[in-house]
Amino acid sequence: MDLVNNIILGLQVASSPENLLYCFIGVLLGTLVGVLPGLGTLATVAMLLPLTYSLEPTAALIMLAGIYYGSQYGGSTTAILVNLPGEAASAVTTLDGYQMARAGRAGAALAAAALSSFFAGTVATILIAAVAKPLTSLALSFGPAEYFALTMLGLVSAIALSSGSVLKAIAMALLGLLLGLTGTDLYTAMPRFTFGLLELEQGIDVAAIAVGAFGIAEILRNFEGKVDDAPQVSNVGRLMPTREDLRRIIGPAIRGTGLGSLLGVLPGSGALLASFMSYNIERRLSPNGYEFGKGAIEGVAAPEAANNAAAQTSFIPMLALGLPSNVVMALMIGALMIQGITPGPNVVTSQPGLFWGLIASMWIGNLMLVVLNLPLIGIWVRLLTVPTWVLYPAIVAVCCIGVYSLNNSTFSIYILIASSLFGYFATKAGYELPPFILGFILGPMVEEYLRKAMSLSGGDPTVFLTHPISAGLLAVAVAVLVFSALPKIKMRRKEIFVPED
Amino acid sequence: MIRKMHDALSGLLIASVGGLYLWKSVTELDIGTPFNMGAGYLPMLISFGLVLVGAVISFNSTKGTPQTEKFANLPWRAIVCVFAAMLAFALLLHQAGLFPTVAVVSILAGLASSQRLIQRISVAIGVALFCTIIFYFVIGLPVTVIGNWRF
Repeated sequence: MDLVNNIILGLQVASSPENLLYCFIGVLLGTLVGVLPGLGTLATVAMLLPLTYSLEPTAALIMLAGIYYGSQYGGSTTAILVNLPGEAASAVTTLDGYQMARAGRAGAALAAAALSSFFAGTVATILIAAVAKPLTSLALSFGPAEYFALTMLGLVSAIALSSGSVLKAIAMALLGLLLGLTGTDLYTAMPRFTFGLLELEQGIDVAAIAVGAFGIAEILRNFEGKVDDAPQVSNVGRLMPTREDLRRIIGPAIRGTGLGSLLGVLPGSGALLASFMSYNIERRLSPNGYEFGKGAIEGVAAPEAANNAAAQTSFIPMLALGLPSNVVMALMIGALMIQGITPGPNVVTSQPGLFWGLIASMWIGNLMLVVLNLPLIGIWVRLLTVPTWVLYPAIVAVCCIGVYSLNNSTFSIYILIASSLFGYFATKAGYELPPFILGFILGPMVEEYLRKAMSLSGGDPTVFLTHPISAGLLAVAVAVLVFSALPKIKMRRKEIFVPED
Repeated sequence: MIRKMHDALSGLLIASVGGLYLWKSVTELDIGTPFNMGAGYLPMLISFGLVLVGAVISFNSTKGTPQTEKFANLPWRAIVCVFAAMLAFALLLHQAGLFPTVAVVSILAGLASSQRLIQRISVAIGVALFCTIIFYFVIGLPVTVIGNWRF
């Protein structure tokens, strides 16, 4: 069977010593930074993004993916041990995880989180492998009009799913698009919006923007309110869960995985939504529902499984269509483009090693997380006690060095400074960043597809409506936009979409 | 009148940025036709949209519930310190070398929180040492550890 051959190819690529090493480093670094309270998954991925630039595309992507779910695991560790969610998606884990920790069962909670995540990761990996080929075959029949409509749908979804005002999200998307077009126009070789600066002729580096807007801005946000020293860390206790524990987490893990896999594919903050919904559903379904909030192990297993499943399946639109379903995927697309690979359905055929190697390494990474990180929990706990006045200067320094290393140019630092201030003040004023980043990454793509489509149609804009798939996608985009602007939906959006802390 | 100052100002800012880019698109770049889009076509459309959206956001600041407390408690000390730290990095790296630069960055960033002088110095040295070992010795970043100090 073709699928089996592909998986074997993937495993071969992923288990090369080099890729294994980078997977491990990614997972380790991701967990390390993700564990730090006050730094969420996005900040972690953004800050570690520059490190992957000097690597080969396959290794870079493998490492980035490892950083991604490593940081999620680190975030849930912090949520359980310290009751401080690194980001909104781990907030649910604090509900029961921390209670378990207070009852001396932190180890069991951590194990439950790790095992459910591993289960979810395994299932999600199989899903990705199964779905990728048919999806890419479908996408290969897409023309520029369809791709344009797809990018529009992606942008509109990011706008619709941001928790602030729709107008502000639109503004951010447009701003992102505009800044993404900075550089040299590929068609006419004319420098655009470079303001006479030579350094801008290659465009603005997405990593510099990401580190600033998501990393440094996050640090600044942490300075609001009281800045206390090391938080109280609970004792880890017995790591091995009891047989009773294991029995109880099976159902929630399965249900969480199912829910997360579905939600991860949809554009927007799939992981966040998945963990919240999974928790609520599990509370209603579980015979131990009354225990939720007081230390029910199901309350840790379900959202963790959902979280991880969503995180992994969110790779599907990125790998198969070249469309990011959330900001982290957008950053990965950015990283790939820097490497000279334009993500899209062609990648499956032109770079099968990259494609299947990544999928296989996701499973390997999940395995590493369970096998290596659980024993290393002692180190993570030690990290949590490092006071902020040591941590933050170190983080600022490392961010600067990382961004500098992108092009060995101090100009990137100025971009970093600008984007940190921009990222911080924009979110303070109610503007969300995901539409901005998506617009930034998609900008050149949108233009290319628009140009090609118009060129093919002879300048006729109705081509987007005459092609059925394109028309359908655009109709969905319009519907999503209108829907999200309605006042009733506005209120619900405020409920569901907790802003990033 | 203006109920939400941050909306009024940000809306204006957005509209101005849109206006600037619109101006640049039309004057510096070739617009072309829908059939044969020039470098300025899409930017023109987008920046026009930006002007509109900015204007509407600004206009909407006169309606709705007033919100002024949001900007009351910004951590200005942290913002200034982190800004200064990053600026110092950009200005010092080539001349001062990695170790001194990171030490300075550490101290400046550390000024955001209150601590004893001895803590500041030990953190600065520690972080500078850590960064030098990892980035220069292990990763091999092309920088000098101690620069030539020619400003």
